Amino acid sequence: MENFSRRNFLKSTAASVAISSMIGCEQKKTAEPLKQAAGGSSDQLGLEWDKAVCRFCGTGCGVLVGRKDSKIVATKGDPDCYSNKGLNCIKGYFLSKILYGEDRLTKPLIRKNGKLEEATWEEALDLIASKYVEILKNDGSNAVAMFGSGQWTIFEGYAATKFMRSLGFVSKDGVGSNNIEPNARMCMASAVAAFMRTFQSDEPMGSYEDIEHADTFVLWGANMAEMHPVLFSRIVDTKIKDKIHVKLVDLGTQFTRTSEEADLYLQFKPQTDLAIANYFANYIVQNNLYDKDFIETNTVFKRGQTNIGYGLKDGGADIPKDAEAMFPMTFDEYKAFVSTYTLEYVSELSGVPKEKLEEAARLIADPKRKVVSFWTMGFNQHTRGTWVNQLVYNIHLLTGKISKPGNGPFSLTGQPSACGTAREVGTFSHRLPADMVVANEEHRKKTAEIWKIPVEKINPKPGLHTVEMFRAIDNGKIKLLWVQVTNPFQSMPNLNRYRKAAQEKDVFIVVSDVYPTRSTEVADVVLPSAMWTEKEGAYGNAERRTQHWNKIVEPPGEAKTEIWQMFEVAKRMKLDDGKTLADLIYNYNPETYYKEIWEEYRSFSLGIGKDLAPYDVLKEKHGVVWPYVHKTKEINTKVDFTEVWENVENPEGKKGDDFISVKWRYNAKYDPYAAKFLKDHPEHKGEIAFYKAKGNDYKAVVLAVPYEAAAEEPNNEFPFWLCTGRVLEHWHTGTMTMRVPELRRAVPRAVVNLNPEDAKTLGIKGGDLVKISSKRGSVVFPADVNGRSIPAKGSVFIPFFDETRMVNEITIDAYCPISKEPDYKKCAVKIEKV
Amino acid sequence: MVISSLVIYCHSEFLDYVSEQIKTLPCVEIVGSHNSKFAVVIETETTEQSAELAEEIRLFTGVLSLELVTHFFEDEVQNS
Ligand code: SF4
Repeated sequence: MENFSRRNFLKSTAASVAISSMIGCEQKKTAEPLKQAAGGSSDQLGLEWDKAVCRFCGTGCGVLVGRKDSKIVATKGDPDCYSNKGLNCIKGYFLSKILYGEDRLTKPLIRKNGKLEEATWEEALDLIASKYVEILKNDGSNAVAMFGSGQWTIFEGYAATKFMRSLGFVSKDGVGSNNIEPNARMCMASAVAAFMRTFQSDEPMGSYEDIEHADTFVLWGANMAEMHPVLFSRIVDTKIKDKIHVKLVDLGTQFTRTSEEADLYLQFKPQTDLAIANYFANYIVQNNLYDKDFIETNTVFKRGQTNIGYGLKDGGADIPKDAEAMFPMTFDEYKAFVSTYTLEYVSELSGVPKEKLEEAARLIADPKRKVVSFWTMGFNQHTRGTWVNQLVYNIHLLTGKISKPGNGPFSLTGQPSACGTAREVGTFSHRLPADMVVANEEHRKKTAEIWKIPVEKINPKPGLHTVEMFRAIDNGKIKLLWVQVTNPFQSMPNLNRYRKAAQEKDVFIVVSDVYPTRSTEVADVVLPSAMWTEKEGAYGNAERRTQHWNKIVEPPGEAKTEIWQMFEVAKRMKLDDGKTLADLIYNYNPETYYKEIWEEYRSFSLGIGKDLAPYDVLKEKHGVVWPYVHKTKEINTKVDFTEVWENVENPEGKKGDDFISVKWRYNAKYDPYAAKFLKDHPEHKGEIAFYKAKGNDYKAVVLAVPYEAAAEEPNNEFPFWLCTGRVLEHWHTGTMTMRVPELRRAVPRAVVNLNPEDAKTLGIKGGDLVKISSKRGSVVFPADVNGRSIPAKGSVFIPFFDETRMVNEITIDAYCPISKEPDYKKCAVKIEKV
Repeated sequence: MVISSLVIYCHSEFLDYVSEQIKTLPCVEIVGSHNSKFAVVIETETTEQSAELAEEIRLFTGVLSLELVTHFFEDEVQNS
């Protein structure tokens, strides 16, 4: 095709696809063939299209990837993915560029005489395997650890958890290691703990489609306009359609681009979200705006243990043993408890004007309004993160605004597979797949059966959670750490302690990554990894959608997948009977191992309301929401749904299909498990059934917990709050986005955002260098006084993407005693002009 | 040659204003509008220029949000 006509053709394709996305005609019930979905351009332009998922945030947007020769030359929002309906955010401009940074790691490196030197795979793998065997034989399985992430593909996370928990075949103590953690511990462990404590099943019950059904959006510390832009646009679209009635309420500690679009902005003092949520509950109860029938049928009231500590002492020595305890209470006792959270008290404590608090409460409690609450790190990275998550569930449970289209509490995720890999696979130190835990004998038995290993090999004692894992390196207890797909030596709080430990203690560190990072810098071996579409993969996003992609391009140089790396290390771990660890745990066909891994993993999920789609379905469809339930017991292994099947809707499929993808869990209209439960329990009224909450008689917990202060609050010496987070241009520690020249040029370095009044008082102008110090150290940043985000008076904000100025050198490693998630949002600092 | 298309979400009262502003930008063409939204195509030499134009549009008064739909950048890849 001539250049001119090719250009015209590209333009007309771009235009027609944009128009179709704009008017929404992409919302078809069945997937179009890829060529057609991509704009009918495959043949004419000589591009080959395949589906993938965005590599960045937890929205999990579907992306169509166009390849020409061996390179990606076009991308497009996938119109057949329900999560994003053809849209990508501006980060989509740079998606494929993350593959092509100049300093991609392409060869294994081994530290020799203090320097990382190129090595062969053979050398590197032999060395890693020999270290594992030596340490496991001498010190046992508690001396090794693995730290992965919510960016692991599901296949990788599954292979990793199986690897670690099967090390008992090699270790002197005969049991596997539970010292495996995803960095998701630092990002949404509080949401996990709260879902489990409330519903006995992890992950949100709703769907992104709630956005089109709701009329009231309550955002708690979530800057969705910049961090989850595609979802924010869906909110905007809903607002555009009915701008008088639809309301956006933004609660936060700094004014952001999201706040600019809000109808009501409530700026609160850090930590007082606990009190505000209790005030909303009090408003609902005092004004009799609760749903009496719903709470009678579906809830149980409990009081949480209080004064639960902050995890500041190693081993959690300052945390009471019963920190997680919940004690029964009556509704009247609950009513009396929340009655102390009066408008006056909460306004005084939080700094939010009374009329704003009341207006927000009125919107949330109005029985005619459909309310969705969204939150991310503001709630989760919180020393009372589990509590504050539960306090928002309280609001939805009291009003019965849950598990219905347009109604529900919705915790978003920051990483593309925080749900799919960290939560569903169960790569936390206490978890096994499908919400199971190592401490439960039945769960260990089921796992051993699927893995075909003796149950005694699975260690019943939970491993070390993230902060304690890194403390154990400092305390000399962890001798080997394998880091995959993440950068903890930039992202850990109280970073100086852990970087020093990595450099000075007797610990062998392996880092698998795609670029040099602050973590490869402290590694003994660096393994070059394949990323994103350089390998087959699957991610699970925040609306429980599993999305599979094929390998589309070759990785550079000698880079290899993490799965291959683990297979190869396991092959080198010889057992007494002449077999290898790989023979026992990775006995898959080299041609079909992705499918075999998936189907093995999937067997954990069937018949228990966690049902995942078969591999072949995932390969074909543009994302599938779980539970993906089959009608009959033969396939789902446990329950026959035939008698309720016709009554259950299938919004992403067709009536009469044998599978139903459940968009609203616990709701009998959409969820066959709930429909079956109601059929079997005729005494249970209404359409909602929390059928997973067996331990609470199938009821969700409304929890009474108080406001308690943060672990560290401003004082005379350190008079400011420090909050950390992200910026639009960079993702996490900048490993990928700092390799994109355009993004690096747009935001080359982190700055400290100051409140203009504070800056004036301190005599600081934009661009001045300022030293920010906490009890743990000091870092110098240029000041930004009128930035995109304006912190409240008395607070400063610093992003954590910049590896040259690491804000985590001054953050605190206090954590929620229940979820064990650290609080990156609150510590005390002082500011000095340099 | 980099060609991309975007959807722009606007306040209804600002539709005319936003459309006027977009028309002042070189390399940007409005190709459709619907329900307070515009579909635009941007054609530039580099992705960076496209992204800068997108950011410029986002900052116009009356623009609520903006999302990317397609991004063709084969010349950029072949020249790299
Ligand atoms: S919203 Fe998140 S997942 Fe979607 S395109 Fe943007 S960064 Fe990627």
